[in-house]
Amino acid sequence: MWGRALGATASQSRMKLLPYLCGYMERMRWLSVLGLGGTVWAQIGAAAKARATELALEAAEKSAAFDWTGLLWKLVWIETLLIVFLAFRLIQLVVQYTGYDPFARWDRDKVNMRLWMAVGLGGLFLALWSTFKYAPLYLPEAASRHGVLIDGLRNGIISFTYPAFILVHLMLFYMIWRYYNGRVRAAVYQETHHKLEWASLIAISIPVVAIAIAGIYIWSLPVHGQKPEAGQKTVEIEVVAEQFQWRVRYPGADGKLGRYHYTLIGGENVLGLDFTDPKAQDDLLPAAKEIHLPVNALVTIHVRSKDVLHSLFLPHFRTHIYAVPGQKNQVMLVPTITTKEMRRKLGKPDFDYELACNQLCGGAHYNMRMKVVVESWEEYQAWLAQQKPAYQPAQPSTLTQARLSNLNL
Amino acid sequence: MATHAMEGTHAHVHEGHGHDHAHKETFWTKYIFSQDHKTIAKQFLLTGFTAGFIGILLSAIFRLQLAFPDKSFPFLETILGKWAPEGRLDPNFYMALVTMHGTILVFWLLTGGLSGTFANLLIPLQIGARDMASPFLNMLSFHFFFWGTVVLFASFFVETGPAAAGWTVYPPLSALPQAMPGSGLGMILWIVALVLFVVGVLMGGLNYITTVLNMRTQGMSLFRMPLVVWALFTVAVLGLLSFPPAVAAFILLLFDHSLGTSFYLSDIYIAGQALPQQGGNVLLYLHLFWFLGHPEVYIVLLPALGITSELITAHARKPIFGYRIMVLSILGIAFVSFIVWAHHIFVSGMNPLLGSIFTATTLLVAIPSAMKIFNYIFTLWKGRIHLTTPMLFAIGTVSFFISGGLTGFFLGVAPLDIPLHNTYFVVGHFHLVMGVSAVFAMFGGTYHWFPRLWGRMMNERLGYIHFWLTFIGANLVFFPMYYMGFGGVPRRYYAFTEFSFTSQWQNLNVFITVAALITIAAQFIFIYNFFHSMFWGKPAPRNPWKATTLEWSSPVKHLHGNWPGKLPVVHRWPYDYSKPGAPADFIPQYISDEDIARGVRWWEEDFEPLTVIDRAEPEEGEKQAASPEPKPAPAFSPNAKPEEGSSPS
Ligand code: HEM
Ligand SMILES: [Cu+2]
Ligand SMILES: [Cu+2]
Repeated sequence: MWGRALGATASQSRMKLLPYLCGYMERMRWLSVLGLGGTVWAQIGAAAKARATELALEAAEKSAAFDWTGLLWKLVWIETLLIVFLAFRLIQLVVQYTGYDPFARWDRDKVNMRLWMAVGLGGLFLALWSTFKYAPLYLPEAASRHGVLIDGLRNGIISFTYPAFILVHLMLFYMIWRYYNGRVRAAVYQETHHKLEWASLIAISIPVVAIAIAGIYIWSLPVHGQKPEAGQKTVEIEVVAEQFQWRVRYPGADGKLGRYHYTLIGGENVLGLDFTDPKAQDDLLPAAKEIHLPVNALVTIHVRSKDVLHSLFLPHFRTHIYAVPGQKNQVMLVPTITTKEMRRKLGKPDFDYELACNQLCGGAHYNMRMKVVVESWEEYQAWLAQQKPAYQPAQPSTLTQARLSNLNL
Repeated sequence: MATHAMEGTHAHVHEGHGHDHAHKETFWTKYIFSQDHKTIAKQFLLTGFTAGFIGILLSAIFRLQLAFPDKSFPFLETILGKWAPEGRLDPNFYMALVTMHGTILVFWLLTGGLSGTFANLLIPLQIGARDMASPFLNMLSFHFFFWGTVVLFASFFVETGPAAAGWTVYPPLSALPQAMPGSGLGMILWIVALVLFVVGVLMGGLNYITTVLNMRTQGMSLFRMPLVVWALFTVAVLGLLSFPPAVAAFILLLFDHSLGTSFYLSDIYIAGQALPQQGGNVLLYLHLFWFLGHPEVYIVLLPALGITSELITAHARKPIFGYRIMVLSILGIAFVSFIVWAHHIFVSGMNPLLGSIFTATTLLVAIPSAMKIFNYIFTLWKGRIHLTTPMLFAIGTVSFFISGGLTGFFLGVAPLDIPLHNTYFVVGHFHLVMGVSAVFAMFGGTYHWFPRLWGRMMNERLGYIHFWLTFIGANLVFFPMYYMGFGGVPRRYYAFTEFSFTSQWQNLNVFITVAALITIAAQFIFIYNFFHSMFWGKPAPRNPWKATTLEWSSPVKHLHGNWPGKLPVVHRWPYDYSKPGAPADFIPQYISDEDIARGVRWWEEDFEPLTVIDRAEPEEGEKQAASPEPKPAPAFSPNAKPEEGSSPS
């Protein structure tokens, strides 16, 4: 097969091998020279390397030694490519000369049909097996109230798409197996089949409608539809993205986040808070790179960006929203599992919830991490009490200055 | 315009008759400034494939980084210099590689390369036209495409590197040179390249539309066109409607980038400075971009599916199942593709109500798509499936379309997009459904129409090896990405080492990279086969696949005007395979019932279609094609499919 496979054609097969080979070598002598030269070079290299190692050992100055190994590896690569290429041509020539084709009696359709069966069925099996094999690495159960709904929707969709994936493929493979040229010798002229078309239309429309309804219903929950239940605590925090870190702001005793403006950013005032606003004066800027959230409270996260697009991605809570410069975005979530509980559930004592940036924001985009801690209301309050307010009395005087210098007027 | 062009081609035809092409054709007019649609198709194919291959090699480099984030590869420093100090890829350059990879493959290979090649080759030949409506515009179309390519690749050589903000180039990252190096000169070149590219696409598109509407030969009513022509025609309309808004978006981006405007910028504090721009909003860009971006997916996909229709029917020897539903599906997909764009920005903070609306419209597109898949499978049903290389690739396309398309149900539903948006689930989805599936169609089409392009066959056995390695490899590369998506692993990450929920995937990443390298290596088989066959392949007969469509009736040796004598006249739809009572398992479109009754033996190897064509009311056929207002195609011959009684044109 290989000669033919490699492009030899029957019409060329009557030529004499030796003269042809000579002619070929003649035309390809630059290659042979390269090949031979490469071999010689490699030998010299090997010898030189041995010598160099000796010398290096003698002088005990390894660092200055030339990288002979690297050079050798390069040569090995070139040699290998050359040998593959020459072998390739040689087989081709031999087959052309002898006209011998060991695979001539292979039946194209049968071989490919069998390959489809092996690869197709094997592939389906492999897909199923590996889906389960990697399940332990999937995100653990949703740690937020709306996340449970999203996971439910996901499972619902999987329970339709996975069987569909397998069934439709099986249909495809069945057609190949049953109707390949070899099992059948004639096709049936068939322009359409109305019942079958209608059946397909209905088969696809039902899941489409079902998924659309479920999806639209759930969509209204996580982003804007959640209301605090009776007695439920509410918390508002702000997360601000910048290249390449996150900052969090908590409201002070008044429970309200104060005003800000981007032209006020500068010096200590990293978030551009407007300290003429009393609501801003008691806001807290925790120093640690952590977000703390109380379990079972309704948390509203205000998200903004100082520079480019970022995205607040809390995979374990199924929460995701862009941080857009100049636009106030917000998401709501109710964390339902504390960090401690999740560690116990997963049996991973070092597990932590994580906040990642999920909209390309530059070179270190891959490294915008923040730890998220979910804890009881009491622990949360205790932690908050330790945080310092953002307002430092020294700042108001520098305020106008910062504004002017920033505007660059 | 059409009349004018036809006069031009008339002249060519007569020259072609008289002294067999030898007249003052220089290298330049023949290969570079050619106005012949077949040559332009080759130009698009070679440029597209070359760019695409480089794009895929880029993925080899960044896949190495993802698999071995801690290893140093000295050869990278050798070829990339300062972008890979000590053999470690620079994070900013990683992003540049990903960006160029995406741009090249989506726009250059699968839009310019795919449509450019097959629209140019197939539209005139399959509808029976001597050339495009405006061969000159057609030439310009390629030249804009080509210079766009040059500018795009030139951006690799600027000091700050090529654009690196992702193939979607979202501002402000792309608009602010201080945000990343790639947003400097590289970004400007990216925009220039894209604008040149789009101008080329639009010129091509105008031509395709005009040609299909005005220059069909006698008897070629719209509903007798092969599905691939339907697809290419629809895609030209899609491009015409969706690319201009994207160009507008890019130009505004350029203004923001270089002229200090604030279309997309507001409230930005970067590099220790508050920028004066206020009042713009990135969401404007997101909407404008995806107003192109989503139709673009179908601009890639519809020609691929059109090609698949031709390959499956010709190699299964069976009419396409549900021709009219296939046409309706193409039109339906095209229409719906304009009202789904916001599913790419569900979590951008746009009005949540839009999320509900776009969930509904997005899921709607599943219906025509699924109908197409079912119809492909039903076409195989009771067929006689020849597992040739083109057929293998066509079945591969269908398989990838299933594996990739079904996951659209996850991403199209707004709430489920929350955990999956921008994760590897998306990367797996779009690579399977539009990347590999379209690439497979392009391969299949190349194997199938290679004899029409170069008059030689490609080597079949090398084709099998190429197919199986690529099919298995691509599945191993992209299917596991779904699992990473379920693990929440974000895309566009330079390394997965920084988060515990991402670093646990390291082994799988090594596996994917190894599979990718093998798959990429397998493409050398194709390259060898392609060029070897171009010069030394087995000479092709006129109709090697015994197909019914018109392109196989023109002589193997290319000539201006495609048919030396009269234009073929069409007597039937394009899928008369295995018709009961017919003397062969295919009846070409130009064979009439009288021809059959007369005993024309079109299935024989040395049959000359021109003996039939030249008899078929020649002058009228020519006149009709040439008249500026084409007459409606004449009523069908009695033997044609009965329900095609009315002519829609
Ligand atoms: C062996 C071949 C290929 C491999 C290994 C590969 C791999 C990848 C990987 C790893 C990414 C980066 C994902 C991320 O970090 O977000 C990517 C991005 C991408 N690829 Fe491929 N790919 C291949 C072929 C293709 C093809 C044929 C297409 C054609 C549609 C394509 C289109 C894209 C696009 C549009 C992106 C997104 C670029 C961006 O994020 O800006 N790729 N590819
Ligand atoms: Cu970021
Ligand atoms: Cu879309």
